[in-house]
Amino acid sequence: MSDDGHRGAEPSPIERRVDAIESLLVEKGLLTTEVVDAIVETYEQDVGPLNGAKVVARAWIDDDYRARLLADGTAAIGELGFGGPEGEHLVVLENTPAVHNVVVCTLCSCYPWPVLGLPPRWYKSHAYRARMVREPRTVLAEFGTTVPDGVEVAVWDSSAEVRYLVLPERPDGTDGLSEDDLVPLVTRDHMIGVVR
Amino acid sequence: MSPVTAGVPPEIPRVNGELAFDALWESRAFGLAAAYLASRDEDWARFRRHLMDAIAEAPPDTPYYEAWVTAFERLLAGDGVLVTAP
Amino acid sequence: MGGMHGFGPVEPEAGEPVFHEPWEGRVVGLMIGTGAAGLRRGSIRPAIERIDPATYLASSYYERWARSVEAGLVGAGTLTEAEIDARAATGGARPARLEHDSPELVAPIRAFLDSPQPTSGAPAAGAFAVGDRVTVRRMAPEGHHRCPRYVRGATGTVARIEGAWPHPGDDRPEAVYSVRFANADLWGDDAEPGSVTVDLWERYLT
Repeated sequence: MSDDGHRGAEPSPIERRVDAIESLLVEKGLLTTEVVDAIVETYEQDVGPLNGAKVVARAWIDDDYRARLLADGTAAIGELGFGGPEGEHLVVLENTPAVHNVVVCTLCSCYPWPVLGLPPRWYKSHAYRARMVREPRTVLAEFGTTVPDGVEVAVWDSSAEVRYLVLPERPDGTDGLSEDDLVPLVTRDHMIGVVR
Repeated sequence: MSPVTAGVPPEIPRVNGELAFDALWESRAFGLAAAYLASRDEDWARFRRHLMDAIAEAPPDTPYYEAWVTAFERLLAGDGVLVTAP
Repeated sequence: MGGMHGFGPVEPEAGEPVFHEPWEGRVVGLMIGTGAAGLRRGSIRPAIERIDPATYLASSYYERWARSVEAGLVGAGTLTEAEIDARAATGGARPARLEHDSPELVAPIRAFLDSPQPTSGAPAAGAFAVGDRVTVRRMAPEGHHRCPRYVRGATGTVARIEGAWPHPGDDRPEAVYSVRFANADLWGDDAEPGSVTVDLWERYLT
Protein backbone atom coordinates (compact mmCIF):
# COMPACT_ATOMS: atom_id res chain seq x y z
CA MET A 1 0.00 0.00 0.00
CA SER A 2 1.56 3.30 -1.06
CA ASP A 3 1.84 6.17 1.35
CA ASP A 4 0.63 9.42 -0.16
CA GLY A 5 1.94 11.26 2.86
CA HIS A 6 -0.64 14.00 2.58
CA ARG A 7 -4.01 12.35 2.26
CA GLY A 8 -5.91 14.45 4.70
CA ALA A 9 -9.55 15.42 4.86
CA GLU A 10 -12.18 14.65 2.24
CA PRO A 11 -11.43 16.56 -1.00
CA SER A 12 -13.32 19.82 -1.29
CA PRO A 13 -15.73 20.36 -4.18
CA ILE A 14 -13.19 22.42 -6.10
CA GLU A 15 -10.52 19.74 -5.67
CA ARG A 16 -12.92 17.11 -6.98
CA ARG A 17 -13.66 19.34 -9.95
CA VAL A 18 -10.01 19.81 -10.82
CA ASP A 19 -9.37 16.08 -10.44
CA ALA A 20 -12.29 15.41 -12.75
CA ILE A 21 -11.05 17.81 -15.40
CA GLU A 22 -7.56 16.33 -15.29
CA SER A 23 -8.87 12.76 -15.49
CA LEU A 24 -11.15 13.58 -18.41
CA LEU A 25 -8.54 15.45 -20.39
CA VAL A 26 -6.01 12.66 -19.95
CA GLU A 27 -8.59 10.02 -20.88
CA LYS A 28 -9.48 11.97 -24.00
CA GLY A 29 -5.80 12.03 -24.89
CA LEU A 30 -5.58 15.81 -24.94
CA LEU A 31 -2.69 15.96 -22.55
CA THR A 32 -0.59 13.82 -20.29
CA THR A 33 0.12 14.08 -16.62
CA GLU A 34 3.83 14.36 -17.40
CA VAL A 35 3.30 17.54 -19.41
CA VAL A 36 1.14 19.06 -16.68
CA ASP A 37 3.77 18.16 -14.08
CA ALA A 38 6.54 19.75 -16.16
CA ILE A 39 4.64 22.98 -16.53
CA VAL A 40 3.79 23.23 -12.84
CA GLU A 41 7.39 22.52 -11.93
CA THR A 42 8.62 25.21 -14.32
CA TYR A 43 6.49 27.86 -12.67
CA GLU A 44 7.22 26.67 -9.16
CA GLN A 45 10.97 26.45 -9.51
CA ASP A 46 12.48 27.95 -12.61
CA VAL A 47 10.45 31.05 -13.34
CA GLY A 48 10.22 33.62 -10.59
CA PRO A 49 11.32 37.01 -9.26
CA LEU A 50 14.98 35.99 -9.16
CA ASN A 51 14.89 36.52 -12.92
CA GLY A 52 13.65 40.06 -12.57
CA ALA A 53 16.12 40.78 -9.79
CA LYS A 54 18.97 39.87 -12.15
CA VAL A 55 17.59 42.25 -14.75
CA VAL A 56 17.40 45.07 -12.22
CA ALA A 57 20.89 44.43 -10.83
CA ARG A 58 22.31 44.46 -14.35
CA ALA A 59 20.59 47.78 -15.05
CA TRP A 60 21.96 49.27 -11.86
CA ILE A 61 25.53 48.31 -12.79
CA ASP A 62 25.50 48.90 -16.54
CA ASP A 63 24.14 52.20 -17.91
CA ASP A 64 24.09 50.95 -21.51
CA TYR A 65 22.03 47.95 -20.48
CA ARG A 66 19.71 50.23 -18.55
CA ALA A 67 19.14 52.34 -21.66
CA ARG A 68 18.39 49.25 -23.76
CA LEU A 69 16.07 47.95 -21.06
CA LEU A 70 14.02 51.14 -21.03
CA ALA A 71 13.96 51.33 -24.85
CA ASP A 72 12.91 47.70 -25.47
CA GLY A 73 12.19 45.67 -22.36
CA THR A 74 11.49 42.38 -24.12
CA ALA A 75 14.78 42.40 -26.04
CA ALA A 76 16.95 43.47 -23.10
CA ILE A 77 15.33 40.95 -20.77
CA GLY A 78 15.83 38.37 -23.50
CA GLU A 79 19.58 39.14 -23.44
CA LEU A 80 19.67 37.54 -19.98
CA GLY A 81 17.83 34.49 -21.30
CA PHE A 82 14.38 35.25 -19.90
CA GLY A 83 11.22 35.12 -21.97
CA GLY A 84 8.17 33.05 -22.75
CA PRO A 85 4.42 33.16 -22.15
CA GLU A 86 3.11 36.49 -20.86
CA GLY A 87 6.45 38.09 -21.66
CA GLU A 88 5.93 38.81 -25.32
CA HIS A 89 5.81 42.53 -24.75
CA LEU A 90 7.56 43.76 -21.63
CA VAL A 91 7.89 47.42 -20.75
CA VAL A 92 10.14 48.53 -17.90
CA LEU A 93 9.07 51.54 -15.83
CA GLU A 94 11.88 53.52 -14.27
CA ASN A 95 11.45 54.87 -10.75
CA THR A 96 13.10 58.27 -10.32
CA PRO A 97 13.30 60.84 -7.51
CA ALA A 98 10.19 62.41 -9.09
CA VAL A 99 8.09 59.33 -9.95
CA HIS A 100 7.19 56.09 -8.19
CA ASN A 101 5.54 53.50 -10.44
CA VAL A 102 3.20 50.71 -9.38
CA VAL A 103 1.45 48.07 -11.49
CA VAL A 104 -2.01 46.50 -11.31
CA CYS A 105 -4.33 44.56 -13.61
CA THR A 106 -7.87 45.67 -12.82
CA LEU A 107 -9.53 43.26 -15.26
CA CYS A 108 -7.93 40.00 -14.18
CA SER A 109 -4.33 39.33 -13.12
CA CYS A 110 -1.98 40.15 -15.99
CA TYR A 111 1.59 39.97 -14.76
CA PRO A 112 5.06 39.66 -16.35
CA TRP A 113 5.55 35.93 -15.74
CA PRO A 114 9.03 35.47 -17.24
CA VAL A 115 10.59 37.95 -14.82
CA LEU A 116 8.37 37.61 -11.76
CA GLY A 117 6.80 34.14 -11.99
CA LEU A 118 3.12 33.81 -11.10
CA PRO A 119 1.42 36.63 -9.22
CA PRO A 120 0.86 36.50 -5.46
CA ARG A 121 -2.65 36.05 -4.13
CA TRP A 122 -3.03 39.68 -3.02
CA TYR A 123 -2.25 40.95 -6.53
CA LYS A 124 -5.21 38.97 -7.86
CA SER A 125 -7.58 40.02 -5.08
CA HIS A 126 -10.58 42.20 -5.69
CA ALA A 127 -9.34 44.60 -3.03
CA TYR A 128 -6.00 45.27 -4.74
CA ARG A 129 -7.46 45.48 -8.23
CA ALA A 130 -10.20 47.91 -7.23
CA ARG A 131 -8.32 50.08 -4.76
CA MET A 132 -4.89 50.50 -6.34
CA VAL A 133 -6.28 52.70 -9.13
CA ARG A 134 -8.48 54.66 -6.75
CA GLU A 135 -6.33 55.23 -3.63
CA PRO A 136 -2.78 54.09 -4.38
CA ARG A 137 -1.03 55.90 -1.54
CA THR A 138 -3.42 54.38 0.98
CA VAL A 139 -2.86 50.89 -0.39
CA LEU A 140 0.92 51.42 -0.45
CA ALA A 141 0.78 52.49 3.19
CA GLU A 142 -0.85 49.13 3.96
CA PHE A 143 2.27 47.53 2.48
CA GLY A 144 4.34 49.71 4.80
CA THR A 145 5.37 52.02 1.98
CA THR A 146 5.28 55.79 2.32
CA VAL A 147 5.83 57.86 -0.79
CA PRO A 148 6.97 61.45 -0.01
CA ASP A 149 4.60 64.22 -1.08
CA GLY A 150 6.95 65.54 -3.74
CA VAL A 151 7.04 62.20 -5.55
CA GLU A 152 4.27 61.37 -8.01
CA VAL A 153 2.65 57.96 -7.70
CA ALA A 154 2.02 56.68 -11.24
CA VAL A 155 -0.25 53.64 -11.43
CA TRP A 156 -0.17 51.44 -14.56
CA ASP A 157 -3.15 49.24 -15.39
CA SER A 158 -1.98 46.44 -17.72
CA SER A 159 -5.31 46.26 -19.50
CA ALA A 160 -4.04 45.17 -22.91
CA GLU A 161 -1.01 43.20 -24.12
CA VAL A 162 1.88 45.01 -22.44
CA ARG A 163 3.26 43.59 -19.19
CA TYR A 164 5.01 46.02 -16.89
CA LEU A 165 8.04 45.66 -14.64
CA VAL A 166 9.14 48.41 -12.25
CA LEU A 167 12.84 49.27 -12.18
CA PRO A 168 13.35 50.48 -8.60
CA GLU A 169 15.91 53.10 -7.68
CA ARG A 170 19.25 51.72 -6.56
CA PRO A 171 19.47 52.04 -2.78
CA ASP A 172 21.89 54.52 -1.25
CA GLY A 173 25.14 53.10 0.08
CA THR A 174 25.40 50.26 -2.45
CA ASP A 175 28.07 51.74 -4.70
CA GLY A 176 30.67 49.20 -3.68
CA LEU A 177 28.51 46.12 -4.25
CA SER A 178 28.95 43.74 -7.15
CA GLU A 179 26.09 42.79 -9.46
CA ASP A 180 25.70 39.46 -7.63
CA ASP A 181 25.51 41.26 -4.29
CA LEU A 182 22.82 43.59 -5.60
CA VAL A 183 20.48 40.80 -6.75
CA PRO A 184 19.20 39.85 -3.25
CA LEU A 185 18.28 43.49 -2.58
CA VAL A 186 15.63 43.37 -5.30
CA THR A 187 12.35 41.76 -4.29
CA ARG A 188 9.21 40.89 -6.19
CA ASP A 189 7.33 43.63 -4.36
CA HIS A 190 9.88 46.22 -5.51
CA MET A 191 9.28 45.17 -9.11
CA ILE A 192 5.49 45.41 -8.78
CA GLY A 193 5.97 48.75 -7.07
CA VAL A 194 4.25 48.19 -3.73
CA VAL A 195 7.59 48.61 -1.97
CA ARG A 196 10.32 51.19 -2.57
CA MET B 1 -4.30 7.59 -11.21
CA SER B 2 -4.67 8.84 -7.68
CA PRO B 3 -6.53 12.10 -7.23
CA VAL B 4 -4.57 15.06 -5.93
CA THR B 5 -5.31 16.08 -2.39
CA ALA B 6 -5.19 19.32 -0.48
CA GLY B 7 -2.05 20.46 1.24
CA VAL B 8 1.32 21.41 -0.14
CA PRO B 9 4.18 19.07 0.67
CA PRO B 10 6.66 21.13 2.66
CA GLU B 11 9.63 19.90 0.65
CA ILE B 12 8.66 21.70 -2.59
CA PRO B 13 11.78 23.77 -3.25
CA ARG B 14 11.39 27.52 -3.33
CA VAL B 15 14.42 28.28 -5.42
CA ASN B 16 12.97 31.31 -7.15
CA GLY B 17 10.71 33.38 -4.97
CA GLU B 18 7.95 32.10 -2.78
CA LEU B 19 5.55 29.28 -3.50
CA ALA B 20 3.27 30.10 -6.39
CA PHE B 21 0.22 28.21 -5.16
CA ASP B 22 -1.61 27.96 -1.87
CA ALA B 23 -2.90 24.45 -2.46
CA LEU B 24 -2.10 21.54 -4.72
CA TRP B 25 -5.36 21.81 -6.64
CA GLU B 26 -4.44 25.36 -7.62
CA SER B 27 -1.20 24.16 -9.17
CA ARG B 28 -3.04 21.41 -11.04
CA ALA B 29 -5.64 23.89 -12.30
CA PHE B 30 -2.85 26.12 -13.56
CA GLY B 31 -0.89 23.29 -15.14
CA LEU B 32 -3.95 21.80 -16.81
CA ALA B 33 -4.88 25.06 -18.50
CA ALA B 34 -1.30 25.71 -19.55
CA ALA B 35 -0.87 22.19 -20.90
CA TYR B 36 -4.16 22.30 -22.77
CA LEU B 37 -3.29 25.62 -24.45
CA ALA B 38 0.23 24.39 -25.25
CA SER B 39 -1.23 21.29 -26.89
CA ARG B 40 -3.29 23.56 -29.14
CA ASP B 41 -0.34 25.86 -29.85
CA GLU B 42 -2.41 28.63 -28.38
CA ASP B 43 -1.51 31.58 -26.15
CA TRP B 44 -3.51 32.77 -23.15
CA ALA B 45 -5.70 35.37 -24.94
CA ARG B 46 -8.81 33.24 -25.30
CA PHE B 47 -8.52 31.81 -21.80
CA ARG B 48 -8.01 35.32 -20.42
CA ARG B 49 -11.35 36.46 -21.87
CA HIS B 50 -13.12 33.68 -20.00
CA LEU B 51 -11.14 34.48 -16.86
CA MET B 52 -12.12 38.15 -16.97
CA ASP B 53 -15.76 37.19 -17.38
CA ALA B 54 -15.61 34.69 -14.54
CA ILE B 55 -13.95 37.22 -12.25
CA ALA B 56 -16.47 39.91 -13.16
CA GLU B 57 -19.47 37.62 -12.60
CA ALA B 58 -18.40 36.08 -9.33
CA PRO B 59 -18.80 37.76 -5.93
CA PRO B 60 -15.84 40.09 -5.35
CA ASP B 61 -13.93 37.92 -2.93
CA THR B 62 -14.24 34.69 -4.82
CA PRO B 63 -10.87 32.94 -4.62
CA TYR B 64 -8.92 33.54 -7.79
CA TYR B 65 -8.39 29.92 -8.77
CA GLU B 66 -12.07 29.14 -8.43
CA ALA B 67 -12.74 31.74 -11.13
CA TRP B 68 -9.84 30.16 -13.03
CA VAL B 69 -11.47 26.72 -12.94
CA THR B 70 -14.79 28.19 -14.08
CA ALA B 71 -13.02 29.92 -16.97
CA PHE B 72 -11.23 26.71 -17.93
CA GLU B 73 -14.46 24.70 -17.89
CA ARG B 74 -16.10 27.24 -20.18
CA LEU B 75 -13.15 27.12 -22.55
CA LEU B 76 -13.32 23.32 -22.65
CA ALA B 77 -17.10 23.34 -23.12
CA GLY B 78 -16.74 25.84 -25.97
CA ASP B 79 -14.18 23.57 -27.62
CA GLY B 80 -16.55 20.61 -27.35
CA VAL B 81 -14.09 18.77 -25.13
CA LEU B 82 -16.40 18.64 -22.13
CA VAL B 83 -20.15 18.80 -21.98
CA THR B 84 -21.54 20.72 -19.04
CA ALA B 85 -24.57 19.33 -17.26
CA PRO B 86 -27.87 20.94 -18.25
CA MET C 1 -17.04 26.85 -37.96
CA GLY C 2 -18.92 29.23 -35.69
CA GLY C 3 -22.62 29.38 -36.42
CA MET C 4 -22.76 26.31 -38.69
CA HIS C 5 -25.76 24.13 -37.97
CA GLY C 6 -26.89 20.60 -38.51
CA PHE C 7 -24.06 18.69 -36.89
CA GLY C 8 -25.90 17.69 -33.76
CA PRO C 9 -24.96 18.22 -30.15
CA VAL C 10 -21.53 17.28 -28.89
CA GLU C 11 -21.95 14.24 -26.69
CA PRO C 12 -19.32 12.07 -25.16
CA GLU C 13 -19.99 8.39 -25.84
CA ALA C 14 -20.86 6.45 -22.74
CA GLY C 15 -17.91 4.20 -21.91
CA GLU C 16 -15.81 5.86 -24.61
CA PRO C 17 -12.44 4.10 -24.99
CA VAL C 18 -9.29 6.09 -24.39
CA PHE C 19 -8.72 6.31 -28.15
CA HIS C 20 -10.78 4.73 -30.85
CA GLU C 21 -7.58 3.92 -32.68
CA PRO C 22 -4.03 3.91 -31.27
CA TRP C 23 -2.90 6.40 -33.91
CA GLU C 24 -5.07 9.09 -32.34
CA GLY C 25 -3.01 9.03 -29.17
CA ARG C 26 0.18 9.24 -31.17
CA VAL C 27 -1.07 12.39 -32.92
CA VAL C 28 -1.49 14.14 -29.60
CA GLY C 29 2.01 13.26 -28.52
CA LEU C 30 3.38 14.38 -31.88
CA MET C 31 1.50 17.64 -31.64
CA ILE C 32 2.98 18.57 -28.30
CA GLY C 33 6.40 17.09 -28.95
CA THR C 34 6.98 18.54 -32.41
CA GLY C 35 5.70 21.92 -31.34
CA ALA C 36 7.89 22.01 -28.28
CA ALA C 37 10.96 20.86 -30.22
CA GLY C 38 10.44 23.50 -32.91
CA LEU C 39 10.04 20.91 -35.65
CA ARG C 40 6.89 22.47 -37.05
CA ARG C 41 6.59 25.86 -38.63
CA GLY C 42 3.60 27.94 -37.83
CA SER C 43 0.76 27.55 -35.41
CA ILE C 44 -1.63 24.63 -35.58
CA ARG C 45 -4.62 26.92 -35.85
CA PRO C 46 -3.84 28.55 -39.21
CA ALA C 47 -2.92 25.08 -40.56
CA ILE C 48 -6.24 23.68 -39.45
CA GLU C 49 -8.03 26.60 -41.01
CA ARG C 50 -6.24 26.00 -44.34
CA ILE C 51 -7.53 22.44 -44.66
CA ASP C 52 -9.90 22.24 -47.62
CA PRO C 53 -13.44 22.54 -46.21
CA ALA C 54 -14.68 19.26 -47.65
CA THR C 55 -11.80 17.42 -46.06
CA TYR C 56 -12.23 19.31 -42.83
CA LEU C 57 -15.86 18.39 -42.40
CA ALA C 58 -15.32 14.74 -43.20
CA SER C 59 -12.28 14.35 -40.97
CA SER C 60 -12.45 13.22 -37.44
CA TYR C 61 -11.06 15.46 -34.74
CA TYR C 62 -7.68 13.68 -34.54
CA GLU C 63 -7.42 13.34 -38.28
CA ARG C 64 -7.52 17.14 -38.59
CA TRP C 65 -4.72 17.40 -36.05
CA ALA C 66 -2.69 14.81 -37.90
CA ARG C 67 -3.05 16.69 -41.18
CA SER C 68 -2.00 19.98 -39.61
CA VAL C 69 0.97 18.42 -37.79
CA GLU C 70 2.05 16.96 -41.13
CA ALA C 71 1.66 20.31 -42.89
CA GLY C 72 3.70 21.98 -40.19
CA LEU C 73 6.49 19.42 -40.40
CA VAL C 74 6.64 19.65 -44.18
CA GLY C 75 6.48 23.44 -44.05
CA ALA C 76 9.47 23.52 -41.71
CA GLY C 77 11.45 21.11 -43.88
CA THR C 78 11.65 18.53 -41.10
CA LEU C 79 10.07 15.87 -43.29
CA THR C 80 9.08 15.77 -46.94
CA GLU C 81 5.79 14.62 -48.34
CA ALA C 82 7.68 12.02 -50.36
CA GLU C 83 9.28 10.55 -47.25
CA ILE C 84 5.96 10.38 -45.47
CA ASP C 85 4.20 8.83 -48.47
CA ALA C 86 6.97 6.28 -48.93
CA ARG C 87 7.03 5.21 -45.30
CA ALA C 88 3.26 5.02 -45.16
CA ALA C 89 3.20 2.86 -48.28
CA THR C 90 5.82 0.36 -47.18
CA GLY C 91 4.67 0.09 -43.57
CA GLY C 92 7.91 -0.55 -41.78
CA ALA C 93 8.47 -1.18 -38.12
CA ARG C 94 6.35 0.51 -35.48
CA PRO C 95 8.38 3.16 -33.71
CA ALA C 96 10.26 1.74 -30.72
CA ARG C 97 8.63 2.41 -27.39
CA LEU C 98 10.77 3.58 -24.53
CA GLU C 99 10.42 1.40 -21.48
CA HIS C 100 10.90 4.22 -18.99
CA ASP C 101 10.19 7.94 -18.55
CA SER C 102 12.72 10.15 -20.30
CA PRO C 103 13.69 13.49 -18.83
CA GLU C 104 14.99 14.48 -22.25
CA LEU C 105 11.46 14.25 -23.62
CA VAL C 106 10.29 16.80 -21.10
CA ALA C 107 13.19 19.16 -21.77
CA PRO C 108 11.85 20.43 -25.11
CA ILE C 109 8.60 21.31 -23.41
CA ARG C 110 10.53 23.34 -20.88
CA ALA C 111 12.42 25.04 -23.70
CA PHE C 112 9.14 25.82 -25.44
CA LEU C 113 7.83 27.42 -22.30
CA ASP C 114 10.99 29.46 -21.80
CA SER C 115 11.40 30.83 -25.29
CA PRO C 116 9.90 34.15 -26.36
CA GLN C 117 6.69 33.66 -28.30
CA PRO C 118 6.17 35.57 -31.52
CA THR C 119 4.74 38.98 -30.80
CA SER C 120 2.12 40.79 -32.79
CA GLY C 121 3.05 44.22 -31.46
CA ALA C 122 3.39 45.62 -34.96
CA PRO C 123 4.27 49.32 -35.18
CA ALA C 124 1.07 51.29 -35.00
CA ALA C 125 -0.11 53.75 -37.63
CA GLY C 126 -3.17 54.97 -35.84
CA ALA C 127 -5.27 58.03 -35.35
CA PHE C 128 -3.55 59.45 -32.28
CA ALA C 129 -0.05 60.61 -31.36
CA VAL C 130 1.82 60.93 -28.09
CA GLY C 131 0.61 64.05 -26.33
CA ASP C 132 -2.90 63.99 -27.83
CA ARG C 133 -5.82 64.46 -25.47
CA VAL C 134 -8.27 61.59 -25.92
CA THR C 135 -11.62 60.74 -24.35
CA VAL C 136 -12.81 57.23 -23.63
CA ARG C 137 -16.16 56.50 -25.23
CA ARG C 138 -19.04 55.75 -22.92
CA MET C 139 -20.15 52.35 -24.09
CA ALA C 140 -21.57 49.05 -23.07
CA PRO C 141 -19.78 46.82 -25.55
CA GLU C 142 -21.19 43.52 -26.74
CA GLY C 143 -18.90 40.58 -26.41
CA HIS C 144 -15.34 40.59 -25.15
CA HIS C 145 -13.50 43.83 -24.59
CA ARG C 146 -10.79 45.20 -22.37
CA CYS C 147 -11.96 48.69 -21.49
CA PRO C 148 -12.05 49.13 -17.71
CA ARG C 149 -15.27 50.74 -16.49
CA TYR C 150 -13.57 53.37 -14.38
CA VAL C 151 -12.10 55.24 -17.40
CA ARG C 152 -15.22 55.42 -19.51
CA GLY C 153 -16.07 59.03 -20.28
CA ALA C 154 -12.76 60.28 -18.88
CA THR C 155 -10.23 62.37 -20.80
CA GLY C 156 -6.51 61.70 -20.64
CA THR C 157 -3.27 62.17 -22.56
CA VAL C 158 -1.56 59.65 -24.81
CA ALA C 159 1.67 58.87 -22.97
CA ARG C 160 3.07 56.00 -25.04
CA ILE C 161 2.19 54.02 -28.13
CA GLU C 162 3.56 50.48 -27.79
CA GLY C 163 2.16 48.91 -30.91
CA ALA C 164 -0.89 47.35 -32.51
CA TRP C 165 -2.61 44.11 -31.53
CA PRO C 166 -5.82 42.43 -32.61
CA HIS C 167 -8.70 43.43 -30.37
CA PRO C 168 -10.27 40.40 -28.63
CA GLY C 169 -12.28 38.57 -31.25
CA ASP C 170 -10.59 40.32 -34.21
CA ASP C 171 -7.71 39.36 -36.50
CA ARG C 172 -6.53 42.76 -37.65
CA PRO C 173 -3.93 44.66 -35.54
CA GLU C 174 -5.30 47.86 -34.05
CA ALA C 175 -3.27 50.56 -32.32
CA VAL C 176 -3.18 50.40 -28.51
CA TYR C 177 -2.47 53.59 -26.58
CA SER C 178 -1.17 54.02 -23.04
CA VAL C 179 -3.40 56.87 -21.89
CA ARG C 180 -2.53 58.74 -18.70
CA PHE C 181 -5.40 60.11 -16.58
CA ALA C 182 -5.03 62.53 -13.68
CA ASN C 183 -6.59 61.02 -10.57
CA ALA C 184 -8.80 64.10 -10.15
CA ASP C 185 -10.28 63.48 -13.60
CA LEU C 186 -11.18 59.91 -12.63
CA TRP C 187 -12.24 60.26 -9.01
CA GLY C 188 -12.93 63.94 -8.36
CA ASP C 189 -11.09 66.76 -6.64
CA ASP C 190 -10.80 64.90 -3.36
CA ALA C 191 -8.68 62.21 -4.97
CA GLU C 192 -5.07 61.65 -4.02
CA PRO C 193 -2.67 63.44 -6.39
CA GLY C 194 -1.19 61.22 -9.06
CA SER C 195 -2.08 59.43 -12.27
CA VAL C 196 -3.32 56.16 -13.68
CA THR C 197 -2.14 55.00 -17.11
CA VAL C 198 -4.35 52.49 -18.91
CA ASP C 199 -3.71 50.62 -22.18
CA LEU C 200 -6.65 51.16 -24.53
CA TRP C 201 -7.45 50.01 -28.04
CA GLU C 202 -8.11 52.78 -30.55
CA ARG C 203 -11.78 51.85 -30.90
CA TYR C 204 -12.34 52.88 -27.26
CA LEU C 205 -11.08 56.44 -27.87
CA THR C 206 -12.24 59.61 -29.45
